[in-house]
Amino acid sequence: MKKISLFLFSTLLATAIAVYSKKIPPVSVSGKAAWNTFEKKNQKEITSHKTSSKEMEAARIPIPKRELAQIKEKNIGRPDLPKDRVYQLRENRLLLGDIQRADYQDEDTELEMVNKINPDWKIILGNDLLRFQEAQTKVLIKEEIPVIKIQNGKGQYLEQVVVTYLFKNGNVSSFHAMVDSETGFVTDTWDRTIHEKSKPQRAEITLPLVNNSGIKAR
Amino acid sequence: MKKTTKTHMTLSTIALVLLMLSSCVPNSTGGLRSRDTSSVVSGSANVGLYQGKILADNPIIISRNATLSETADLNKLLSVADITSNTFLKGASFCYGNDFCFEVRENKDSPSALQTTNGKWAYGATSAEFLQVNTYYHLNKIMDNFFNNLIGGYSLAYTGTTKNYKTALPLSYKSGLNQFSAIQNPLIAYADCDTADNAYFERALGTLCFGYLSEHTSVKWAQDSTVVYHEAGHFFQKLQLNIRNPLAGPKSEMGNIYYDEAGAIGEGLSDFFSYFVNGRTHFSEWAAGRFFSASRPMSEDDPLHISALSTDPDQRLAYPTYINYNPNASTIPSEDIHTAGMIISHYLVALSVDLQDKCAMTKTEASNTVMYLVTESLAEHGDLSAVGTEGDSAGRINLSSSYANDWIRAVNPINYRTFMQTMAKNLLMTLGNPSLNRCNGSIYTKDQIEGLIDQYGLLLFRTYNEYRNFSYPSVATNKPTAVNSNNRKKSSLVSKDQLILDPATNASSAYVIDNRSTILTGLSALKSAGILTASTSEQTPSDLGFNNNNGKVSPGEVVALALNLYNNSNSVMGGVQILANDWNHADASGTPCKFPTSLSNDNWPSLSEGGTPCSTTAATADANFAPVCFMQYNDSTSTKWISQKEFKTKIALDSTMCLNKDNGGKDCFIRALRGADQAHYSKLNPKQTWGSTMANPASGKAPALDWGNVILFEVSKHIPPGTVVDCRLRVRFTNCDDCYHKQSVDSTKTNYTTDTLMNGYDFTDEEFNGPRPYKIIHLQIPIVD
Repeated sequence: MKKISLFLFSTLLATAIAVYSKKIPPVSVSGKAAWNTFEKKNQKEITSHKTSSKEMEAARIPIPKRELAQIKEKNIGRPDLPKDRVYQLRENRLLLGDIQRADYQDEDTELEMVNKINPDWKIILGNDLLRFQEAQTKVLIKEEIPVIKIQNGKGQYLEQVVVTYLFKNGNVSSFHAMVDSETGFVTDTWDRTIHEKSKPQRAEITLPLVNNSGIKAR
Repeated sequence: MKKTTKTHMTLSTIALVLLMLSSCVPNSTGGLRSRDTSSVVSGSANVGLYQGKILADNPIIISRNATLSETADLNKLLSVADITSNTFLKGASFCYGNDFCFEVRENKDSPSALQTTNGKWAYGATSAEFLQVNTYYHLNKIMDNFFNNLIGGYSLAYTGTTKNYKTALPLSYKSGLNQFSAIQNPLIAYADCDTADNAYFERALGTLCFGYLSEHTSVKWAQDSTVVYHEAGHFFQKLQLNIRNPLAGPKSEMGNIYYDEAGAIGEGLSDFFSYFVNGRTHFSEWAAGRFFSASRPMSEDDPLHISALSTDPDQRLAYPTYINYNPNASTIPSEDIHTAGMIISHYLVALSVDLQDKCAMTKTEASNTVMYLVTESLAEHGDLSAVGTEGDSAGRINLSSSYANDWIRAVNPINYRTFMQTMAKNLLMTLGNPSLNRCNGSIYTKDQIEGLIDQYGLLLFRTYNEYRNFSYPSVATNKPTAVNSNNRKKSSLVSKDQLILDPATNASSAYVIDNRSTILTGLSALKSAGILTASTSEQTPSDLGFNNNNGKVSPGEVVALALNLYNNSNSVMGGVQILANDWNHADASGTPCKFPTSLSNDNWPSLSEGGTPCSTTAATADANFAPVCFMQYNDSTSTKWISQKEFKTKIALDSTMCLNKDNGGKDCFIRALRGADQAHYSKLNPKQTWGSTMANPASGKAPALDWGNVILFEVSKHIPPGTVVDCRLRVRFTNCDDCYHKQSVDSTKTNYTTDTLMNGYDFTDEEFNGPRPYKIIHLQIPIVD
């Protein structure tokens, strides 16, 4: 009798825990802390908030479990760099560009910076990216890697980010961008999306019926 | 008592194991479909452990029915194949080495990859699970082919640590490729993506998305294995182009989303990836072909082609004649990267066939060799450290690490000429090198290399340019191998001077589009696609309130400019590019300079008009990048052309009122917006403009312009009306004889490398920052309120 009770108790306990565990969403998006959403409410108002799991799903942003674990352990401010490569760092930022000139990793090596770090760079970026978009367009920004780029012996603070547009009609567009840490302006983009549309669309820019531009060729 | 405890422990353990197992099975509310037993193929007993049901090719090919209905029972076309012994539909767990780091999910709502509970992957053809298994199978197959090809490439490029030739494959990855981290996170493929009429590769997020057809909702892109190969091909191209670049930081890419030749080559290469896996010379008979008439052949003997095309050397799909050709609508000119890419896919297939013949290779060996040469070529072009090939030093290609992005994006981008020149060089160094014995006891000769390239109209280079910027006289011994001009039978080279503005009476030189909603749409599209990197000035209102739709350039506007170019030659011009980026055409103070006639016949501005002599030396220091537009200024005695900075001083405008407050007024009044500072026209027929080239023969109407056809300028609201601006634009085209290499006066010369003037040598990247490789076109633009 005692054995049966013990078995029943164990089974009930296991079942209860199993049922409870299934009520928990299968993937937690705690890693989304690195993502921020900027939303154009109307022509004058742009708001921002931490990206929600619904927005992540709508933007088709995958969160592999492995990355989740990395994000949880991540020391904010530390470059989220691949672990199997040797990277040069300075001020906990990845060094890019003309980095062979000197040992810039040694922070005693003098390096004149052409800009400063503006804590509001991401807000400026969000506003700039939404400037000409329709109301209700969202842009999701993920900080990936803080960078110092060396050019002509001078350093520039930059931020490598992922930008994902989420349009009112559900369309999505994403790319990587390098952003000036002071002005919040994009300096480079890459990783644009490539489509295989069955009905390719052109922009349909029509020319003026009468050309009175006054432009002359010399 | 002891026994009771043991029993209790055993039962508890079983319960806990049950608990753990149950927690591994995602539930339906989590977004992943629960196992639908009805969808399991009856007779799954034939399916062994780790096996599943797949469509071995697309349904049209398997059924041998070109008109297969969307309602056809695809279950009848399924076959059994090994899938994976993993519990989840995933490749390797780690993205290291050449592991296949990827997984397949149903769609964006799926939190994880599909899981098997019985070790089998057999589902009905209409189920979402089937789409995932089918995608996984074909993705795994192409991963296998590609990475094995890469490993094989290393054995061709190196003996131990010694290079067998000037390879672009980095030695650091050689030892088992164990340092080869192509991707940081797994590639995720959404097999049943909720996207209509589209399949895409989202490079930034590392996802592939296979949607459905809106008018035939049961038809899914993932049912067509060639589409899986094609989209995966884009992923591999990212890897091929960036194999020499670090994982972090900017990447090279094949063009942008609007028309350009790099984008076209990227699409053609992706089609070739399909051939690389299945050996068939047609892309997407099912998803694109059956329902949209948008499939693409890869060989001239395909029945979809017009009868004028065949594999006869004189009837190839030659550049630039067929750059606007769409086999599905052959009478209507088409400016589209997918169809324009067919020239490269046809060439690569023809090369594979030729290697089978000349080098006694099997079909698989030949396509593997070609893919490996593509990897070599892209790896060199994409190197943003400006080195390009192993053991060389920076500055050899793409100018310098500081400017490499701009060079590959706009100044010296991949196009049909540059790509084919690098492919030819790699063919010559490997299959053409008798000491390497890569052609099974024979060699693929230089004449054979050049002959086939010429059949495609692509023998557009005078040398193989092996040393690039380090060619003679930079290094005295580095004299590039000359192309035998006698092999240039079909390839047509045209002088840049034949590219002019429309000479017809009353024809417009350029059009101004300043319609507010049109420009807003463009800014929105270009910005959200990541093409427009420039930020507009704060003084430009976000509603473009100054845009007045009068077809003129007015203060405060953002306008699109379209050039009315004309091909004055008797040959077709392909790959016309208009550049409005900053370049070396002013002195250090920004004053416009007049080039010596040895560099350009531009002859502007005269010294009395404010010009200063330009340096005769190509240069690329920061000071050598001047904005494309200058200002006209009338003082009491004369009219002069001056820099925007000087104009600002003359009219006493504070720097804070400039478009860009931070660069000293360099582009204070008007600027081409970076990213939208170049425009492309695919082709100009002889004695025609783009409009007449592109016109539908039936209606006589040309298509409307796209954003890739125009340049965007931002105009300051502080520019005084009545001012005239001179924008010194540079234009060129791909089959130009004096835009990429120095042209000999004596066109009969066949061996350019003995020429002390280096005629036939490619221009250096520094020279591309100046006037010599371009036709210069001045637009003098009145600012009208």
